[in-house]
Amino acid sequence: MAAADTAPPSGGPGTLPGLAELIRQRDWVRAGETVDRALEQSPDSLPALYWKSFLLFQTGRYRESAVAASRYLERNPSSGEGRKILGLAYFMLGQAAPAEVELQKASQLAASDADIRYYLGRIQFERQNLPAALESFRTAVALDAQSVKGFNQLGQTYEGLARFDEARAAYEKAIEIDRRQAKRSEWPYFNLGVLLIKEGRAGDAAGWLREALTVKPSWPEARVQFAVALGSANQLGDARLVLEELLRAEPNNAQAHYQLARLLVKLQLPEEARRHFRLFAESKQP
Amino acid sequence: MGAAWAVLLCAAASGAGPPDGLRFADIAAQAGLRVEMVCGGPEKRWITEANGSGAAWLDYDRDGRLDVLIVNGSTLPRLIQMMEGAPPAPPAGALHLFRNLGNGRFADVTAKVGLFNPYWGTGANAADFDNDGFTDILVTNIGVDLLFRNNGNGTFSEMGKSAGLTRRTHWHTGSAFGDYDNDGHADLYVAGYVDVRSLNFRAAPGVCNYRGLPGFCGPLNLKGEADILYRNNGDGTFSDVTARAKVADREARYGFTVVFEDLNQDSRPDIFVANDSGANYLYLNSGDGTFQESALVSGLAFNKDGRSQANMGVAAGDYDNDGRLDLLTTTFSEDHFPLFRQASPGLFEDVSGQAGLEAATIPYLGWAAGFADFDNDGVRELWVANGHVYPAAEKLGSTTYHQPFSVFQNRGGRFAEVRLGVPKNSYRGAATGDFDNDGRMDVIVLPVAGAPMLLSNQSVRTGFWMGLSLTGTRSNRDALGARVEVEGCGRKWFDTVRNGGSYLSRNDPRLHFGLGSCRTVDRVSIVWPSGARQVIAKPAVNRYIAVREGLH
Repeated sequence: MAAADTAPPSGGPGTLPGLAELIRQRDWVRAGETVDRALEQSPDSLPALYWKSFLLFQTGRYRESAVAASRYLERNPSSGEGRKILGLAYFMLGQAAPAEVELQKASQLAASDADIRYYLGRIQFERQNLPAALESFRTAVALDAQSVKGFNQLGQTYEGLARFDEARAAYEKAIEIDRRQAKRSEWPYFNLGVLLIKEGRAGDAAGWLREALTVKPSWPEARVQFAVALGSANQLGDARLVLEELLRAEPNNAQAHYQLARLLVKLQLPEEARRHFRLFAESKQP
Repeated sequence: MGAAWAVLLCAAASGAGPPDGLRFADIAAQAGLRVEMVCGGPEKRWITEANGSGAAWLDYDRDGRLDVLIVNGSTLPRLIQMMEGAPPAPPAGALHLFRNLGNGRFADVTAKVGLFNPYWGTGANAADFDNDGFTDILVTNIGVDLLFRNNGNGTFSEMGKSAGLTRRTHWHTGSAFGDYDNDGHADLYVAGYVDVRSLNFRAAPGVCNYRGLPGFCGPLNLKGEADILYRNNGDGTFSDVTARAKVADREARYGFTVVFEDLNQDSRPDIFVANDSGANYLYLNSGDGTFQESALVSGLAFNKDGRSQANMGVAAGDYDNDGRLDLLTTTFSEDHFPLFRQASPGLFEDVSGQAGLEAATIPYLGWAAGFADFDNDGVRELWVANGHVYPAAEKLGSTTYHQPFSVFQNRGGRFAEVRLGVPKNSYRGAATGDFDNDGRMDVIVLPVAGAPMLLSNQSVRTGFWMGLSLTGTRSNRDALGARVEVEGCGRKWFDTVRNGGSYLSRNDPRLHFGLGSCRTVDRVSIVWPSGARQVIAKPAVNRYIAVREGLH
């Protein structure tokens, strides 16, 4: 997940002159300079400390963001926004336990913040505690009915729970919202396509995977799955072309070799199939 | 048909026509199959307590009726005693042979026939390894495997030691008999699971995490137990030829289920081994007494995504009636059961998605499995005994501890699960067998704990059928490896005589073909393991026919 995937805070402890516009423009460099100037003038400025942690987070400096957020929370422990930044920073650092503690506190302080629920869901999802993840993602999309990532992750959770009809519906909702966005997400198209392959609906799956590739054309995993869908739908020649093109770009792509081997089995080309099974094994070697 | 000794075992005519649903009734208790299955304690703190045991259908007394052998597990205190060098006296209930009385009832003859098991039983198997016409019994164990020779007078003698089977303590699981060197004597492959000697049952069991759920540890990170191939010397003894035959399980993968089957159509029996938490093995028979491991290049090592799975049981059969054997392995929950369709000789493709089995099997943790035509409509259904290993599995939200015995009806190569109304449980071993010879395949299903089920097939509207009981003369007596094609009404059905598959269990050794509305079979063509070909013209349907090699 890119840092910029997290939504800018809805509020915060007040702003600094000119900062709001720079954040809106996502001009992190100049925004950082503004905050640093404010901190030089007033090292204990609560707004400056808060925005410092926020900007460090947005630029992927999670450890420093967590330090800054902690400093801010020492002075303002009841800030839901501060807890959120700290929790997200821990999450990005892979520290699920403290992330959960901070995000739980944040959710009590900012009960209507969908992002907090989403990341609590992500923590549970990664622990494979799917019933708890489901509850969090349901709350997240109830709080933000336009959340592509919320519906997408809700779909993933339903899928993990083997509730495939609900998973499909969640992905379709995510796609419906995503199509209205300026910045598109490839994930719900991909996930729906892969689910439909599992359900034996390869023809439908190919359409969604094709769309995932229009959003992110260079995505190897989507290209492999697109070829799987085409192959399962008996479009063997097209599937072969997709995989061979991918292998020209990435000769050691193990999955592409494996799926090409499976395709060659179908095409009754046993020796070529065996060659790609072997290349799969070689590509998998560390 | 030539000078035949076709024996009518049953001529219960079934009405032809479209099936109107499968019906099974559990008649175990009324049939007298009273067993309390045991596999350690209910908390399942050690991996030894998780995997259950199996059953075998066999006609030990040659009265034309299938008897049933049920292998039971044991308890940790007894296992500890055994591991410390003092095998306890064989307890009652460790092993049961039930004689089929022919009136829908069975009698427990275990002690009378001389069967016993002091160890922790796992697998049930049977074959006429000494070609004397009487079916012998193999019981695999956590402990020492037992080979009971059928004396031909209603009793058995245990002769594992004199037959040359290893006497070391092992955790052996599935086994399969097959004549890999085609010398007319059934050889034996035994799968090894975990090195039980490396486990310290006196210590507190480790606690491992599965999706946030605490449970027993293993098999991953435990030392595996290597498989063994025994060659039948033809004099009542076996020799361990594992290394010589190049089937050494060097990585000691966690082997569960074995099948002897010609999987590349070169007329030589190959060996498929389903491995838990690792790639499967396919040993292709080179014809010179050695094998070449070829699972990866045959498409059988991994599933459709190139991932290894927790392979437990194996269904083997020609589900799509294209004349080639297909395989399915059962796997862990949150994963699918891969259906490996043999697309061309020796090359397999996981078609579980297209066949409707990928999404449908994800909630299930499967064990025993098979293909059987329960409604005799001419296509084989898939059946699976399911059940989780973690009693707290409910908390995962995606699965349950108690799961169904599932039947997936075959609708033109696409499977759909049918509700049988059979109670859910945590099932393990199971085997199909037509115990009442009515042409409708029944099933014995064992839970990890509690009473077994005998599912009597009471489907009302079923198609025509035929059954074949093959006896080799030049070939091994069980005709293991014989290939049979049935032709009639412009259709063909194919099967082979095989041993192994399912999970720790042995299916009915006879071949059973559902014929749908086809009431006239034109011919049955048999290719015996010896290479001899035999054709039976216009055989009768709705009965079992005994065929002896060379006498038709």
